[in-house]
Amino acid sequence: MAREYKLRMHNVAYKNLFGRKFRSILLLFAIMIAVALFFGLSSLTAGMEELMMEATNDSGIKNAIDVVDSSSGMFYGTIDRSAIKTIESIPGVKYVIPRVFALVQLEDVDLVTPLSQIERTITPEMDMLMQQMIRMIGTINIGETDFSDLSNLISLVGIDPDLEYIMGGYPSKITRGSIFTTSGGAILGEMLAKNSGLDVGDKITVICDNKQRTFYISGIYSSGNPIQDNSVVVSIKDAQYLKGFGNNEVSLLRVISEENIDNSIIGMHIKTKLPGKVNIIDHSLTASVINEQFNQFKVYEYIVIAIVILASIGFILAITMRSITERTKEIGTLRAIGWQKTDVLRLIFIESLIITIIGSILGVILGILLPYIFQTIIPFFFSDLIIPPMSELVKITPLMVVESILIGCTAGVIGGMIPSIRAVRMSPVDAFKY
Amino acid sequence: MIETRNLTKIYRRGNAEVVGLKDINLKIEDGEFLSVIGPSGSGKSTLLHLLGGLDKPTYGEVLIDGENIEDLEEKELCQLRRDKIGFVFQDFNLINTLNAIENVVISRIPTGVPHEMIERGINLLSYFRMEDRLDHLPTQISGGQQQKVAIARALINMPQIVLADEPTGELDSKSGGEIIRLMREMNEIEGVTFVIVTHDLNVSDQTDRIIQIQDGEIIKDINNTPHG
Ligand SMILES: Nc1ncnc2c1ncn2[C@@H]1O[C@H](COP(=O)(O)OP(=O)(O)OP(=O)(O)O)[C@@H](O)[C@H]1O
Ligand SMILES: [Mg+2]
Repeated sequence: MAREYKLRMHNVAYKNLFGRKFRSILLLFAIMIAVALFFGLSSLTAGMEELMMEATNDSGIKNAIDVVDSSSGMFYGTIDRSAIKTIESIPGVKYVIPRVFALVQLEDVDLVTPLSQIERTITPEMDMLMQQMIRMIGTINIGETDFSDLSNLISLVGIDPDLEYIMGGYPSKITRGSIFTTSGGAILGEMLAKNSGLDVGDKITVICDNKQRTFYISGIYSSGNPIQDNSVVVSIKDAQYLKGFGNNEVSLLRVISEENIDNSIIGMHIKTKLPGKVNIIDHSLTASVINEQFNQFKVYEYIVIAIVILASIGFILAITMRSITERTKEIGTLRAIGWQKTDVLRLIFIESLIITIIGSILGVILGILLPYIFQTIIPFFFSDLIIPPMSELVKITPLMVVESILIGCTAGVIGGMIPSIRAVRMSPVDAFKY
Repeated sequence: MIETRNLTKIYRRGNAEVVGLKDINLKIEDGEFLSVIGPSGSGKSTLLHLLGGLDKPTYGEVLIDGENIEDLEEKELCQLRRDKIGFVFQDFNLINTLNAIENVVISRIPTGVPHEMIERGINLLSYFRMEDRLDHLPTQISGGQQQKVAIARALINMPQIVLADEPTGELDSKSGGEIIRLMREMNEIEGVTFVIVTHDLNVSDQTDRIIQIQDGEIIKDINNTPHG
């Protein structure tokens, strides 16, 4: 007779869930979708936030001003080095660093993802932010630039490594190899290295208009900024050669001011000392605009998340309410034959928990896959639509997984238990008659 | 022994008052096999619910072995319902997701089901000739069989008294008769008291004592000699 029967609370909970498959599957889906949406949104926002932060925190950019030629811009114009002395005489200015910028091509290199494609995948909402970033690093004059013309161009920056080192500037982080010490060396942005297949020790030939020069790659750098990371950095002399500049000609002067000095005042001084010649790009302003826009974006995100959670609680409630008559009678019966209120609540809690934990875990998995799913599926239906590379933008943290599961459990347990709590509080007799 | 003193239940709906039960004084000795009859709405179910501690009286008291059950705390009342009382309902009230034997021992699940309990459950179901239905769900067995499961559930903890509210109400006369016969056998074998509410005079005729209720009051309380 000794047949083994597994008869503990959680066995009853499992049996209840399996016995009502349709209801259980609906609940599972409700929780899964809510968690996936929450997770997908959070990871996308976190990824974008990290991108913005890295861009704005780059190289002490908050107290930096860039000075460029007023008529041809930072990219095609020139500034005379003599301006350095003039600007350095302004009180509050700490350093003035010259840089040379060029749009170049790499000989015999196929770029997997040329610069232009990164730009083209950006949605209108992100466009504004990207433009700010582009302005910040001062490579392209956005107003008139059609990105499609730039499909095989990358940006080259000529720097004086010693000067940049003083101000903790370009490049912010060498991930492999080292910075060049003499002319003829180059360091590559991480993304460019990845897309071109080039690495430390390789040689590249850089073409700019009718000039070209071959460099050896001494290192790979990373800044977190996708456009900077798609550039090549060489010595200022080499850059001047490629552009056909004289010794005293540079593209841009980066002015670093003392802490606590208002950038706009320094900017005004520069304008009055070099009247009509220069334009000022104030990075503290750009950084604050980006932050402001991003904070606005986050407010929308929170609203969406709140709606997702409330909707899922509502949906779960609706599913649970469908079977409330049967459930109430069942609870009345259990109470009549000796179950305590806490026993009934325990059973329903275990049931909700099983469903929500499974639903949340599936939701997190779906949330991780969501960017890939969107990227793959949307082009099938809307072939013209430009989808941002979401899977590369997202950032997943363990905290996010914990948060998602907690939110799924909260929604599931609240939605799953509220209708039953009423039944538990009723007298058994009222529960029978329900 | 169960005893009631001036047991009264008044239902209030807004200003309207409905008398469910009025001044019931009743003594039920251990081992009795009795029925409660009366027209619909006369208060039979109300009496059963009050006897079993499922509802609270408006006035009066229910004493089980001399103890007023209203003095019990919620937890003790639950234990009383589990250990001393068994309930059988008209529409069986089995848990549809659990099989027969699980339904029989369900009252013990929160505190853990001792192995003897499962054995007793199997023995009861076997006695009811359901040994081959132990792992069937309620939806997979007949109404009569469901009621047998419900009776086994009521008896599992060796209660002092089983309160059955129209246990044959949903059954045809053949399976209804079988149910009453099984109850009588359990009454004789285990000495458990049965209080059976019924409309059916054939059922009440099987019991030793018939209490007739009308408008919430006992109008007749007679001893009866069952006819075979
Ligand atoms: N929850 C309630 N609220 C209001 N009135 C109630 C309630 N429960 C029962 N009543 C009333 O109390 C009286 C007794 O009801 P009870 O259910 O005990 O009758 P009964 O004898 O079991 O009837 P039946 O044979 O139809 O089951 C009836 O008039 C009924 O309408
Ligand atoms: Mg009734």
